Amino acid sequence: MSTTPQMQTATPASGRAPKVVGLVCDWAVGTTELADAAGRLRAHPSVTIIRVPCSGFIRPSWLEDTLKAGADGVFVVGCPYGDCLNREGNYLMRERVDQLQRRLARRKIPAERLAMLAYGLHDVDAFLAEVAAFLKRLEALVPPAAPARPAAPRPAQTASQPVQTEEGA
Amino acid sequence: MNGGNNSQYTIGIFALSLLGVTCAGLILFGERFGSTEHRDLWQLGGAALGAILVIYGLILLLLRKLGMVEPRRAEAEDDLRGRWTKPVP
Amino acid sequence: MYRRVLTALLRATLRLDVAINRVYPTDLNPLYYTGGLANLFLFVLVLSGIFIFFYYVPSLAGAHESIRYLTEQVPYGGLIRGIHRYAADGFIIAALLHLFRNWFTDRYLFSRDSPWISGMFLLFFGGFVGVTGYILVWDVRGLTVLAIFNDLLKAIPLAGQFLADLLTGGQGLSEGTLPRILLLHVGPASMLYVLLGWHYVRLRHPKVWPPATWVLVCVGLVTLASAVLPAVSSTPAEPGVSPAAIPLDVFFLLPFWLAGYLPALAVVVLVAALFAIGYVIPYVARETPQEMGPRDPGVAQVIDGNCTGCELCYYDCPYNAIVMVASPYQGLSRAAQSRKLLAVVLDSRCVECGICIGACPFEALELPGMLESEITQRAAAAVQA
Repeated sequence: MSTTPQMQTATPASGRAPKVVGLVCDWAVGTTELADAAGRLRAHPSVTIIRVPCSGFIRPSWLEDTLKAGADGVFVVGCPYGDCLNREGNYLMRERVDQLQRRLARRKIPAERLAMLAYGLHDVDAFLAEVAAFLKRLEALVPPAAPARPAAPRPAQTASQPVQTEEGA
Repeated sequence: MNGGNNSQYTIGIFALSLLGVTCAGLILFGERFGSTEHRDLWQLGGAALGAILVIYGLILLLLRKLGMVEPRRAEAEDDLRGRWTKPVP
Repeated sequence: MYRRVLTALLRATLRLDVAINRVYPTDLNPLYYTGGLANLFLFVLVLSGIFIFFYYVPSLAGAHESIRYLTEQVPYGGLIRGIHRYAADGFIIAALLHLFRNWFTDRYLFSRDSPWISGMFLLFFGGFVGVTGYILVWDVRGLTVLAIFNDLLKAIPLAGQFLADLLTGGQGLSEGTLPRILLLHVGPASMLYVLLGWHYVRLRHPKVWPPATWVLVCVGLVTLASAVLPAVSSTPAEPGVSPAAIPLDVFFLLPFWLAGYLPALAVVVLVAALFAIGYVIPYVARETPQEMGPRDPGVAQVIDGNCTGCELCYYDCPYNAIVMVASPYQGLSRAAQSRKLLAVVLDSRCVECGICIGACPFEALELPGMLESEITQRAAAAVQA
């Protein structure tokens, strides 16, 4: 990753933060104070949280569909390994996420767009830090947006070099 | 896990092993030089035996923290995966 | 009020986890294996108990002497006797930790009241077995405990005398008393395994054993304790002699200490009340479905038309709540038309976790309160916005 100032913030060169959906087990990290009524994280407004009864409830097809619907990334949050309220949910989800990542990799979709996290009720800071790291990894993957259309028709003479707008990728 | 912690764990393993060997030595010594009825110093032998078990358990814990032994199959944490799946970031 | 206190206790319990997880990898956190630790101590108790059983003589004249012989003459006898004593304390400590942790973290909801009730029985009988163990030593403490137990039982209205006679094997102290106490020690101890079967029956892959580290550390600590603080008998029991004070084991003998300060019936009522409260914990002051929100989405429903009988939900359900039956009719979708098996959710066992939904590749399971369409719509809406 380059270290130009733009990459330090959550906004990549394309101008928008990565859109992420997080499916969070309601028994895991406490999200009541972290998210607003619509489920957007206050710390990272491009991340939306959906609360589910167990991390094991999540069907891998939903994660895939969310990526196809245009999300840059999807993550699942379960309880710390060993402490799932339903005993095995987070282990089962861990294995399903692994399988899905291998399937995505075979289709050349980067596996880093999917993540399985494990945080308990009080691990709020660690959870937010991990989400921030996840967003940063996604920015490295988000291709910088090409200009939608040239503002004016291209001049016939091409003596000048096109300006390099890509950040290191 | 950073290098500093790793070396602390390794020193810990060696120290615990030394302690364990001492305890085993105590037991052997007691058996060899104790009375024929094996009744003297049974407390010392028992304490050494208990200590050996506790030490063995702590050595296993330090080995886990060093990453040299794996958790039970279904219980691998994120940072220890990679054994039979691709490592994920 | 109760819910507020419980929430505070939940947060404190999980804060303890945060501290412990700094030292141990999470799958080695001993508090995640409290049940397994209790089982480990029970196993140690059984093995050491069998050893002691070979030497124990259940007669008024011979009991104390046989224990003395075991402790002082038999090689490692004192060690094993001490292991038996300290493993009993370890068992109660682990069982109480297990009880409090599962209570504060809401692990008794829905069909998990079954392990809860069996667990209360386990605690009760475990405590009873421990008390009879102290009596069997037949020193002054043992005699005092027996006398107090006798009084406590007699204080029970109606059945009191009958129960007291059951305890002492006839009216008052006789040669039949110690064999009776021995039966009451070994019998319920074996019954604990039957109760454990009930305790596990609703769980798939119960965590019966703690990780190796903890097995070694716990057995080692019990051995160490036995060597450093040997278990000793006091002076032999003499009927009619009551000692000034007896050493107290807070885990088993607390009601007997209380009996010195309260009337017998009060102690009985107190112990009965405590256990009664324990038994009803899964049923009182439950949150409404509204309050529970995503935690109470309704019992999993099988969509018969889609089920192909692949058994993935059956393998994944942590509570054995799904059974596969011979398919009585064919399904609707292509894959479901040639099925041999059909999944059936047993409502009484379903904990509404939804793990089966996550396992099913054929969209044949749904939670009524959280449908697949709802999730995908919300995710898509979040992305479009």
